[in-house]
Amino acid sequence: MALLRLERLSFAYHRRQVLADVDLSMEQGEVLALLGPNGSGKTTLLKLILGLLKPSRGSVLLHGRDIRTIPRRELARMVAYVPQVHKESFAYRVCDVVLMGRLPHSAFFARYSEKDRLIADEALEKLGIGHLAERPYTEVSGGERQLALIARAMAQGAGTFIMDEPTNGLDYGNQLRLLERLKSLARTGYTVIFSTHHPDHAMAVADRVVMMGQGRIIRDGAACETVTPASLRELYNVDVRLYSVAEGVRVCVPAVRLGNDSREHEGYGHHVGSR
Amino acid sequence: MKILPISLLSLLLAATALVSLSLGKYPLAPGEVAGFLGHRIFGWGTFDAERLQLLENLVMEIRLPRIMAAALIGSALAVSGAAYQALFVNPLVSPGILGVLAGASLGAALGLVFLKTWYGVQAATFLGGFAAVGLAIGIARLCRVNGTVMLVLGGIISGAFFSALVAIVKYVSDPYNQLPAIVYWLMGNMSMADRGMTFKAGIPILVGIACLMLMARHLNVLSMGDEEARALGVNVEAVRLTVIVCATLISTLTVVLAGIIGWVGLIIPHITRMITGPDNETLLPATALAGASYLLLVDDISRLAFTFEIPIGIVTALIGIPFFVLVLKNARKGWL
Repeated sequence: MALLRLERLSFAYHRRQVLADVDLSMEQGEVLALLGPNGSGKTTLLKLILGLLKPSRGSVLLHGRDIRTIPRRELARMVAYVPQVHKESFAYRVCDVVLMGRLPHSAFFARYSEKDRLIADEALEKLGIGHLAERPYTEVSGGERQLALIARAMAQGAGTFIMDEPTNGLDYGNQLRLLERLKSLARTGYTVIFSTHHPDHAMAVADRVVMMGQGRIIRDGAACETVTPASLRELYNVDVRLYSVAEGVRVCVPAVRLGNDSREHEGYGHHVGSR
Repeated sequence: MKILPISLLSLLLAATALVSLSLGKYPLAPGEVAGFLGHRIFGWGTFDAERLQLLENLVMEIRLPRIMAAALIGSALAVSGAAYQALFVNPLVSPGILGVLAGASLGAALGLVFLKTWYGVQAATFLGGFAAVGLAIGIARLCRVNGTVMLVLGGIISGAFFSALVAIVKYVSDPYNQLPAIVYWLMGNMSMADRGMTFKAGIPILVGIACLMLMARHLNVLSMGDEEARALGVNVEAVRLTVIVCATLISTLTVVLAGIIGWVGLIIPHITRMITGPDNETLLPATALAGASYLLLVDDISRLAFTFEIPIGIVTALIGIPFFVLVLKNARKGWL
């Protein structure tokens, strides 16, 4: 049975159809990247999977169960949300933020137990930010904040992570470091769905890419087959070229400054022709 | 929960209470008061019978009820302020934000004009506070935006509405007896709190504070935003409503006890957050202790600074406002 299945999932907001008849099926351990222009329904899709929005039609099935029938606390133990980095927050310590992930594991009026604290510390260590535990969340860098939110998702004990543009707002170095972390998460068996604006990030981390446009899935398939100059042109209406720079590593280069003559770039890699 | 700040603030509260019990028209030595309390509670030491009678009258009958009331009111205002601040993810809101104090003062004014009995006034004050919150939430719902900003705006509208109604009641009230009583109430006044009232209002205040402290973890999560809280398994609407009911209950009860005492709910959580950090598991108990100590000190000033007593609400405003400007100036980090 598929871990996650979306059946004819639709969502309308103020009579505007945001998402229309989305069908999708995911296996455990898959890493899926959602690509699509702004307003294509990526965030809506993620929120529907998290149960934060109610579908106007269709359903989200987790282990075959409609998530509307799963109690919120139980759902939180299965699916974790890694939101975009907060701009505003109280200056909680990083370890306090991670500890929040233990909330669905304890009784309403209880306090966090020693075990909860151990699990939170362990998550921080796994992501290599154990040294930040006592620092205020608002004073660490954007990349470290994003890692703290991932640590919280791990502490939550969920096997599936839903990430909304995890590299958004991070500087170049932190984007790359975060992608590395995502890749190693994927290797440890987590199922990850993340939205992104960078086809490069999708190709670097995801096994599978889903392209969305105007509330529908346009393409769905293995990352290397789905991200092509043709599909990117269809999606964003821009010209890009794809270069294979090493075994299995491909990058997108905007065609803006390349002109028609690509010979001068021959030294950098092998040009993947548009299909 | 961090133990150190809590224990230090507990010591501060004990010391402040002892000093406050000693101060008055007939000053006592704090050592003697401590000895008397030890004798009264644990039977330690011996006292001269005449002196004992004097201390019994002064400390137990006259000063203690007022000091209990001041401590309860300070705690209630500080805890409700901290709870609202976490709920609205805004360190600049206070119990007044939902129109609670305005609604409670309308209730008090109506009670003073029409009901005239002590219990009637209390009940009306209580109902007024809840009516104001109801209106604030109603306005937020009406706009179909399920966010905290709309709720804050609803509170501001509700507060303005109830303040206008208070003005009407003042205008039509009897200017010789009722108007002074209403004005006196609105200024905030500790001399109204007697032992029976303190006891009756004190128990629900303590229950409300305890409930909020038990929900500290949920308050932390709620302050990260509704969607994150939901994704962490929190029933956001239910928790938010419970927090609002508890915080409103305890802040309305302070109006029942001593009229409108402003600014405590804003500055005390602020100062405490600077010491303990924003984690509500530590912040709520710490701010309860700090609020109690602060109001005891302010009450001492309002009792003793001049030959006549100044309404405590005026003193909290006079101290609170410049202090808050200083806090804002130093709060360069923006979010404390």
